[in-house]
Amino acid sequence: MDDDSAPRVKNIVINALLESFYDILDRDGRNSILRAAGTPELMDAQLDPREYTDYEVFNKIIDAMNLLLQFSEFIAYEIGRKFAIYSDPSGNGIRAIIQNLQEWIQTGWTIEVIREDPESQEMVIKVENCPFCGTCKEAGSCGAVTCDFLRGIFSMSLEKTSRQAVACLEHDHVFTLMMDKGGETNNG
Amino acid sequence: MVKKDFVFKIAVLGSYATGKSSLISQFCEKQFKEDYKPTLGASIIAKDIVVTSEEDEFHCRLVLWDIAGQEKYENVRPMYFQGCAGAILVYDLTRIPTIREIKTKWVEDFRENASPGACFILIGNKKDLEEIRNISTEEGEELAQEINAAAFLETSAKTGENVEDAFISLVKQILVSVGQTV
Repeated sequence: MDDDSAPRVKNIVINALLESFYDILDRDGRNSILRAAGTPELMDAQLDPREYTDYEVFNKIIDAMNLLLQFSEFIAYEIGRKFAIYSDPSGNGIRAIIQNLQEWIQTGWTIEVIREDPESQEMVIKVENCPFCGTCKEAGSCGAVTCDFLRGIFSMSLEKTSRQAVACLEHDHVFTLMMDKGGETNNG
Repeated sequence: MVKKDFVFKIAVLGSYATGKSSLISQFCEKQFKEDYKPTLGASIIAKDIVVTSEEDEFHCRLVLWDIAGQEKYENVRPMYFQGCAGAILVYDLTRIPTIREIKTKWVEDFRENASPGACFILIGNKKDLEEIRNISTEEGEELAQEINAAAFLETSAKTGENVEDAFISLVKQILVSVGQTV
């Protein structure tokens, strides 16, 4: 894939995924996902974050995640929260991560904040053509655990700047984030 | 014959070095490795099997979670149990503490954290080490009854004896628990 429009993924995404798998599932869990993806060469790999990886590799990892983490929504959510930390260690916030994700994963998908209500402290985000759903997507309902992974990314990103606990609900790729006015976090 | 598709998450639990990884390796790949490498975190593998009854053909995808037995994973283990439809509880029939821990630790852990109604079976592994056996078959059967295990088998991950039967037995129990006639 030589032309600039070919789908590709920046290595910072792959590195953050591998680190997050390791944190939540330890070495064998991370390696299980990479083995199922058919990418064992990525075990213990640290890729140059300025470079790109073929989209096919990313897609295989996401498919393996959707296969092996079925019924493990909470784990997928926690992996997402770790991913938010590793991909944005300085805590630039949710708008920055939304912009970065679209730049890093170049597949013609969109993430858009469709509503933000400062009074109720709610934010609604819509994701279209989500690359995290992989090939498991079925007509009418997604059901991929990677939606829980995205919930984790969004909630942690918002928590890092708001310093308040954030709940995130998802329905049909629309994510509703709600800040818990009473709950403070010690993230970031 | 009616074809029905299912996906089940299954945990394999027990104290360290009881042969959990070897049982999965024997079931999935018909392999046994002599060297012992402790599992770090959870090793996960998917395996497709077909179980048949007189009327139905059940195509089951098993997502097998080989969960580390070491104490350092106490805190994360409950998270790994989420969504489990069933479990295989494993003790080593040459080491008495491993059967005690089934009762004092693993059953309770699983009941507290797995899906409601999840079923489990009990396995005494390392049947090939008969000359250094410390736990009798009767003791295993008694414990299985006491903890309400759906089945009890003695297995050898090394020779493969009863390994497939153990997994199939659990899958049949799970199918029954979701309302199927097997």
